[in-house]
Order: sequence, then structure tokens, then C-alpha cells
Amino acid sequence: MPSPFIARLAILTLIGVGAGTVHSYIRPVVVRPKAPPPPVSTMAPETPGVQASTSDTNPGASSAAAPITPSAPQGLGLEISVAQAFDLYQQGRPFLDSRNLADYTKSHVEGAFWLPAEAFSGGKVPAALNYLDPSLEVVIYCSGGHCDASHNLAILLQQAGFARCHIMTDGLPGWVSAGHAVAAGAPEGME
Amino acid sequence: MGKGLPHLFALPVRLILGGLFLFAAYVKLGDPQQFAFSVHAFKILPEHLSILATFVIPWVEIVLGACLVLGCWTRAAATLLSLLIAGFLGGIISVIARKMDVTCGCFGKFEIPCTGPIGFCHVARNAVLLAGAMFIAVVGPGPAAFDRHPQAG
Repeated sequence: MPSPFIARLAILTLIGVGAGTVHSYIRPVVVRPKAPPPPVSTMAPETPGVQASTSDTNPGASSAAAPITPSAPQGLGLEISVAQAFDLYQQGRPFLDSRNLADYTKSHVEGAFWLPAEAFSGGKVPAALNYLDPSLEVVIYCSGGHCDASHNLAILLQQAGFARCHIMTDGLPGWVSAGHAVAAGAPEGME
Repeated sequence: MGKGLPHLFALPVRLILGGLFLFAAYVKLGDPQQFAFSVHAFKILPEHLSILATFVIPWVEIVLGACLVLGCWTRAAATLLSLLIAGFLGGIISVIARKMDVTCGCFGKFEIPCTGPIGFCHVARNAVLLAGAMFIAVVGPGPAAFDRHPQAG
């Protein structure tokens, strides 16, 4: 027979672990974003090769009316290179900066929204989502390397219905190294 | 343990400690997805265990926090809480040693009293909490406790 003290240690541990295990089945959480689905063309199948043009050329601007077009790069995975991100940038796809406010204010991809994962804390829906079309690609970045902020934001956006999230793996340092446009300053409305 | 000063001092210590961990658990379970990010960011546990820990940690905190506040099985709860805090402390030190830029998530969006990425403030905070839990484990629950025989608690 174990001593009462050991028995109490075991009982308290079992209650905590048991309740936590049950809760984890009731309300699953995610720590890895899903790969985006392949692009779906809205073109008629009998007219392959016909390219629809996109009129949305302002990076970071709302593109709610834009159809999903074959002009988007085919088969992009979750993690993309700076070159692939730049292709999407040129097509006017929104860029989301998931770093903290100080880093965003110092330097960010020109036209990028500031949207850290913490903006979703407590089940809040960030206002920035009102400007984004969940059916289109969004490019997320952080500081590159081992930063988790992009992946966390991708998970939250996928839960909010944004299936086509892409993470620019090399982050802002890679974007800067490639010589692409950056800007400085606080997000709109926070100057 | 006699009815001296440590015995009287045990009451506020266990109430504060218990209340703090109940609050921490409430905040974590209020937004488990954000806490899952914090657990995963430590890069100590594999993915599936990170997900499990996201819920097990706050539930263990609830059980132990409630025991401390009520003074029920107090020594056992304080002993387990000491082990839990020691585990947190080990995780925090490993993050510092690996020079990782990770936020704690210990109290959700409430950073008590340390702000920003994990650093030596978090080590000091957990060391204080560990000292409090070990004090209760040794001294017992003090007055106003459900434990009839605190020595056995």
C-alpha cells in the first residue's frame, strides 16, 4: 500500500492530467498550419490556357471583387520563397506582417498590413480581416529563420476561413536582401 | 509543525499562490490556441505533446490551486506545484540558453510582472513561486484549512 501522501500525489496528478486530456479532445488546438489547396480556376474548362487578368495592382489593398484566377502561381506550398512572394506581390495579393509593432514601424514590406497573432487573442476578430478576401492568397512574413509568428498567424487565418495562406520563409530580411520595396511607419490609424 | 509564525505565514502564502495559479489557468483556458503557440514555441515537446500540455498544464494548475486555496491535501498539492514550477523554470532556462525569442504565455496577455520575451525576470519570478510552494510543502497549510492533520496533508 502506498503512503497516503504518495496516494494523494497520484490522485491529484491523475485528476489534472485526466481533465486536461479530455479537454484536449473536446476543444482541439493546432500548432501547425495546413498546406493551402491548389488554386481553383473559375475559367471554363473548355478554354484552357486563357489567362484572366487581374485588375488589382495595389499591394495590400482590398481585392474582394477579384476572382480567383489562373494568373496566381500554380501549386504554391505553405512556405514560399521571396521570389514566389514577389510574384504574388506584383499581382496585388496582400502581405501581412506578423511581427510586433516596433519591428513593423521600423521597417515592413511596402503596403503590408500589421497583423500579429495576438490580435486574435480572446477570440477577437481583427479589423484588418475586413479588408481581406479570404478566397485569395495572402502572404505572411515575420523575421525569417526560426520565428514562429508567421505560422501562428497562418493557423489563425485558416481558422478564420483563409485557406490560401503562404509564408514567406526568409521573412523581411530575405525581402530586403532581394532589394524589394520596404516602408517604415506605424500602421494606418496608429500613427 | 507548531503554531508559530511560519504556521500563520502559510495562510497568505498558500492563498496568494493558489489564487495566482487559478488565475493563470483561467487565462490559459480562456484562449487555448494562444497558449498552444506559447507551449510549441519552447520547442521542448513534440507537436502532439505540446497540444496535450496546452490543456493538461492549466487543469493541473486548477486542481493544485484549488487545493492550496481550500487547504485540502495541501502538502501534496504544494509538492506537485513545486515540481510543476521547477519544470517551468527548466523550460525558461533552456529558452534563455538557446537564445530564443519566445514570450512566456504563463499568464496569457497579462504579463505579471515580467514583460516582453522570456528573460531573467521570468527566472526570478518562478524562483519566488517555487520558494513559496516549497515553503507550504514543508510548513503545511496553516490556519483555516480543510486538512485536519496538516502534517499528513
